[in-house]
Amino acid sequence: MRSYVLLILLVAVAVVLTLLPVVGAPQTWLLYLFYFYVFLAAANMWNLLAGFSGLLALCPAAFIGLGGYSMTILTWLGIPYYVGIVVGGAVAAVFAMVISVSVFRMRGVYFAIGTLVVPAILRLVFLRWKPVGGDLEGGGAGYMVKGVRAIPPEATYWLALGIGLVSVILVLSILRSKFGLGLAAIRDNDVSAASSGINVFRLKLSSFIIAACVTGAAGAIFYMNQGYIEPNNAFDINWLMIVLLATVIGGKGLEWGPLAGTVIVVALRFQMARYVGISSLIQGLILVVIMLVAPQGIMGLARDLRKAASVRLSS
Amino acid sequence: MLLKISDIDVFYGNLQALWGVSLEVKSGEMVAIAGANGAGKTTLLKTISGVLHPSKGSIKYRGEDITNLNAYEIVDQGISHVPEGRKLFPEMTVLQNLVIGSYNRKSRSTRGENLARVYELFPILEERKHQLAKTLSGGQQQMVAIGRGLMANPGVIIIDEMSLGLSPILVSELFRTLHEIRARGITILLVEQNVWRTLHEADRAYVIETGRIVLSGDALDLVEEQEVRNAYFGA
Amino acid sequence: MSQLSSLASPIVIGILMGGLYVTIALGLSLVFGVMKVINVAHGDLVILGSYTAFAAITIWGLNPLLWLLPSLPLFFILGLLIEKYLLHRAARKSADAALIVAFGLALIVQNASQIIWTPQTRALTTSYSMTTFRLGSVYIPLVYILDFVIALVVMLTLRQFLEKTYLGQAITAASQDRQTAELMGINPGRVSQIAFGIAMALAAIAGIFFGLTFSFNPTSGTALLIIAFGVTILGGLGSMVGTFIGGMIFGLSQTLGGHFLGPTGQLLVPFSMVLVVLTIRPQGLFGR
Repeated sequence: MRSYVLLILLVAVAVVLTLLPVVGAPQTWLLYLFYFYVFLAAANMWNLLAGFSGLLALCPAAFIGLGGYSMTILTWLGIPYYVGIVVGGAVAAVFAMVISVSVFRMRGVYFAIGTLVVPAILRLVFLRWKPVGGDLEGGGAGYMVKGVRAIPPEATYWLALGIGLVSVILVLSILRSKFGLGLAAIRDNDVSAASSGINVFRLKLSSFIIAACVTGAAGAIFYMNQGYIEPNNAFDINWLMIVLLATVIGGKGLEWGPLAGTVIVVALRFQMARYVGISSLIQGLILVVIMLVAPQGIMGLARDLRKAASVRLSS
Repeated sequence: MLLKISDIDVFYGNLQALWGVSLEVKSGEMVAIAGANGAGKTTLLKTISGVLHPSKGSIKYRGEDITNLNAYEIVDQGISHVPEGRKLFPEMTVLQNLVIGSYNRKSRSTRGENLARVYELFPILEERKHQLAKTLSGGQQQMVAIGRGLMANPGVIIIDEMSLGLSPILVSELFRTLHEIRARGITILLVEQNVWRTLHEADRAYVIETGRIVLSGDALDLVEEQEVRNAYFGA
Repeated sequence: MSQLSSLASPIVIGILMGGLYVTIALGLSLVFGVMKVINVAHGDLVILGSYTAFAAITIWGLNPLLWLLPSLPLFFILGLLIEKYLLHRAARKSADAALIVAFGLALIVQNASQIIWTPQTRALTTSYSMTTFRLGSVYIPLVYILDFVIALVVMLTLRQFLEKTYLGQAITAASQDRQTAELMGINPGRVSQIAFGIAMALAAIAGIFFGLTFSFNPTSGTALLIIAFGVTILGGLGSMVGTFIGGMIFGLSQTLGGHFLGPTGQLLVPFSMVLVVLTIRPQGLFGR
């Protein structure tokens, strides 16, 4: 698709989505879309890491949680939520930089497990560490988001839409840039990419930090809507499952994969909201089945169909 | 005819590596496949031992079609492959490496005898039987590799680049042992970069170049062949 | 003096408890060695072992130690099936695919357990759950001694199997060089299946003893995976002695972590150690 056509489409879609709260779209729609935008942002970023940079990072919950906590803690210090969101992204980015010192020394499955440990540690840390507010909410480990009631619901919607759009634009522009070319080279073959002068480390680190930043901001926005954050939820492995599922269903390593996947994940969530245990079980099953049967995901299947069609046309 | 390879094509993905290769090995012979690096020797061996499969043509052993058997099934048939680079199990001892050579069902019952015979051929292995394979010298490792191949009770033993990295003295010793092995009724198929030496030891030879058999015949006749002399001996 | 003696208890308990981690880690490293895949569902499968023992108690009143016997073949077969129909297919597509499928399996097991047995915390209580021995100033519950003993039994049995049987040697060979193992007549697919089956049987054992020692809930598996992975890596792949020592070290890190930092420290210290080991010395203490 030509770039300007794509751009026009995106702008059109963005405008329509922005106007939805104004024209009185039903609340359920807005709620669906809210989750969609947040999950989309997280999934796009995870795809950037696992699909494009060859980094199977199992730590998205770390960024989400840190983003959420930064924003929440700042509200306790009187700093408004919209600043908190930016700070959330920044904190997650800095955190990514810090842990990269450790995790970037790990390869392959070691990297995967190493990153898995990170949110587990953060969960434990935040179970104990209460930087503000002292003992509250009956001694629990969670925090209310201060002033959450004052936030207009449209603002939450628009912020979420914003981060969703940012994630899409970011992925699209990265893939069309020199950065993206470098990533493609790395994904195909680390070693030969390095020998042709590509700074593998710097590219991967950049992806990692960017992904952390946007995911962190998404996390901040999510918990802003939630109004309450606590460690077992913020750093839960559930976040990994969401982004994994969305990316795999949609198509790992494909630019529109997460979008397709997130649509399905959100639909599943809402349809199965009544059956919480079963819904997660089903999501696990879907993950296994897709990986075995159609690992290229929806977008991958679409691409294969298109290729097959064009071969038939040309023969 | 013990081993008969008929007109095989072998591909690595989309890349063709062998074109219409045919070769025959009679019982009791020592046949060499000679050629430069990258000519396709190892590909050919891998195809015989079942690691690769031809897209065209057939491989028959003792009259049985083994073309599409898996590598682990081919050992059962009686073909033992001593891989290039020895490929001993590094963390296992000499003895353990030898014993695992008799893994296939048919050779388990004769393990003791086979082991005794391997020690006869290579006495130094008995001395070092509890030594870890990775600590052995190149020559000793080659001995273990050949011994391990013999433990499988093969009818044919295929040895890939036996002389690689070894001194001429060691190579001579190994060839002496090969003749002993042959005297015990085991057919030998050798693949070698060291063309001159090999042609002086084998009965017959095939010369392979860029995936095709270009010359074949009695080894000593080939030594005389002008082409061979030019290509490989620089004479 | 009393400062030091108050450490005696966590040290002894830590070492004994390390036995549990050894048993868990042995299964993980067996599969990792042969299939080069980390079964991220291993921790959850151990907990599944705990839950099946729990079911055995509640439904049949069967003592967990008796349940040990039927659980072994049951889990072994389950392991064969999982490897053949899930992991093998995934591993053929890519290493990442295997990891993701294993992760899916973990989710399935976790949520199935949650549905069947609810998120409520459970434990395997028996008549001897409370039995404690006294060694000087240290009180040692019987279950911890059992954990240590079973680790030794498992280790020695596994070592005998790996060194003295053809199948065991085949597994060892395939771990070191899969392609050459095939040249020996070893069917790598079958070997992987059996290794996984054994790993599952080990998970069943570990699950029973874990459930006897600690309480558990459907999400307990993740922590087990992380620690077992740490033990495997710290000990070095292919070294049983290393895994044993690694288990002791992680057991100690848990009890001492809890001693100095409170209940959060029990997991925080081991988890941090995993990160440290992965960063500094991924080949472990005894690894090649």
